[in-house]
Amino acid sequence: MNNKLLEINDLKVSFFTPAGEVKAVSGISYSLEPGKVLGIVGESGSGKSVSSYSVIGLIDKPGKIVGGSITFDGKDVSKMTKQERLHVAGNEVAMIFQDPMTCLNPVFTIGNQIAESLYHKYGRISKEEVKKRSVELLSLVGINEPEKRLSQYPHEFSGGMRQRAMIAMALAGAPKLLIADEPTTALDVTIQAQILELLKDIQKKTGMAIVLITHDLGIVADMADDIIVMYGGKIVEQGTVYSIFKNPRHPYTKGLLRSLPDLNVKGSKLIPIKGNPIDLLHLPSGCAFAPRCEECLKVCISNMPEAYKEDDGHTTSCWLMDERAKESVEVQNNGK
Amino acid sequence: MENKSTLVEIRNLKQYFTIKNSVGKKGYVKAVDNVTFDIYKGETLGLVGESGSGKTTLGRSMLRIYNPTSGTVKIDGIDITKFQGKKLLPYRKKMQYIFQDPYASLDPRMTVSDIVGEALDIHGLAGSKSDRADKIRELLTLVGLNTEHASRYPHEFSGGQRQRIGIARAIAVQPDFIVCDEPVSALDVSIRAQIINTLEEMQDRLNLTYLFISHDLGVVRHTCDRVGVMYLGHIVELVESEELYKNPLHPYTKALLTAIPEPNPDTAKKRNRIILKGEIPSPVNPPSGCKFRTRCPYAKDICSQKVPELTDCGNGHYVSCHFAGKI
Repeated sequence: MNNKLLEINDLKVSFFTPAGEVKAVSGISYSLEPGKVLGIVGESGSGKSVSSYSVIGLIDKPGKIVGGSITFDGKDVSKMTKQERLHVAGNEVAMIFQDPMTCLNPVFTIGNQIAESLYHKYGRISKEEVKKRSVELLSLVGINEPEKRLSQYPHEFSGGMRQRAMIAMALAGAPKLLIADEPTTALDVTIQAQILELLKDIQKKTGMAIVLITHDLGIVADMADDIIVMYGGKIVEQGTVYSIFKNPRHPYTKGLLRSLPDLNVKGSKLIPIKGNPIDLLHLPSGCAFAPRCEECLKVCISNMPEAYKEDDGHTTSCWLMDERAKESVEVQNNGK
Repeated sequence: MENKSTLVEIRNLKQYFTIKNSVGKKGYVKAVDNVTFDIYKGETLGLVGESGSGKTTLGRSMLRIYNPTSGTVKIDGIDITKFQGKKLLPYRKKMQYIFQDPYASLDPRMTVSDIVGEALDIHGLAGSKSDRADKIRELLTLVGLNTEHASRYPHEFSGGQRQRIGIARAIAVQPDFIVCDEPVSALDVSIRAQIINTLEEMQDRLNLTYLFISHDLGVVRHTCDRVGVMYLGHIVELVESEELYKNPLHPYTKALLTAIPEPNPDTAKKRNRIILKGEIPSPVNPPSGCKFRTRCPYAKDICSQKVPELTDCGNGHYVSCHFAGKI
């Protein structure tokens, strides 16, 4: 019996632009068990959002899933028709986005928008039932005076309240999986703390799984069970939250952790990662991080590294993990 | 820091914006309300707070990008609050601004050498054409760009490189004082440390004084000597950064510090967070008394009646709270 909720196998997503094929995601695989929180970390352009959008079919022209499979709850989502996928999206997988203002419809009340999700899930239900459930949802996400709030429009809500309303909409379908794409990036730290507590709380109550996409390592340290680090459309490292933070293997992960200012010690100088983010139009033939890597070997420039798996499941895609790496020639730091 | 000489002196600075509601009734947004503090030569003063707390407005009023409603801003002992036009120009040269968004703050139709050179032209700092070109090349190298970048346009650069152009533009006029308004917030995590290092390097080389506006308390702790915490137009706590993180006295600062996500799973999952209720109130209609009282877990009757003064609790630790040191 397979107890994985979500299984992604060698997923490839490309965008066909006038300038050429942009390989946003080039061959990633991961899986998620029910009730777990998976953190996906990466900078802009690393493919972290695109990989999750594929799960509910949000990839639009000129983007296309060019390879691989996505299995949700035993069903292959990537082969579904639009109609079939509609049943999965919203009912079983819900999504919340970074900017709650652009994701709520400004001409409908919050009540309308929650009702839409409820009708989508339960079909024809009575107005009283809708109202009852909407009020329940709004109180669940910590909005005061839910009856009054239902008839208000998004512009009458503040940023934090809008994010709560969006979470309420997502929860309307009682999803098994919630994809949260930078849910707190647009919010202030105090509001961010509120929303993260809320997500943890709801996760405990409902037992849903969460895919949390973020660039903030602090947030995943707090929320996630497992972490995936992405760079240039590929997974460079994955493991449990403890093994990633305690024993980072990949030079990119190490660099990211090192470049953060430590709150507890007033450090001297920050150690940045050199160079600039990569251009997805011109991916190198070897490791995508090689041009910025401090420990770059000759083989890194020409050949893609395999994923090396350790006993505890910690997987790293880096030639340094290969036994032959010790004898190999190190290229002098080639970053700018 | 021994021998503190004051570079910028701010006294009772107020910046109100007039607004009208739908029936034409006038009101004020008190973006900065009665702020008093000094910035010492060579230091980096951090300014933190949530959006809407007035940190950016304060930075802009100080540089006379806005005309302050009342109060004074002195630089090197000279009150510049009322200066206009030609009289203000020499002081503009002393004070520069680095903006948050490196995409919006560079004119897309100007080349890098025009952007940096414009500052030189306005203040008449370049003698001849070749002198101007030399100076621009020198500035670009200083901030870590290549000299051949001079003829390119902003869209050809990544976010981090654009922020470097912004820095080159600011230091072109050899200022004493720079307001850095969230200089790394719009950048990718892996690029942030680069820009912070460049800013620190410039400070060492050119003896700069910074006002560093940020909502990222981790970055502030790293870069700043002293930190001011703002809430709804007021400075609620002002102290050396080491002390602020070790011994915060204002309940708002305490909450802010526990709200930062820590990149360490051990401490992150165990610590006790103070979760503030609600959100920052509207500056059009701020609460009476202490502005923080509506969200403060310790608020008592006195907090709604009396505005707490920013007072020294010893060792230059300024706090405005009726119960400072008791909670």
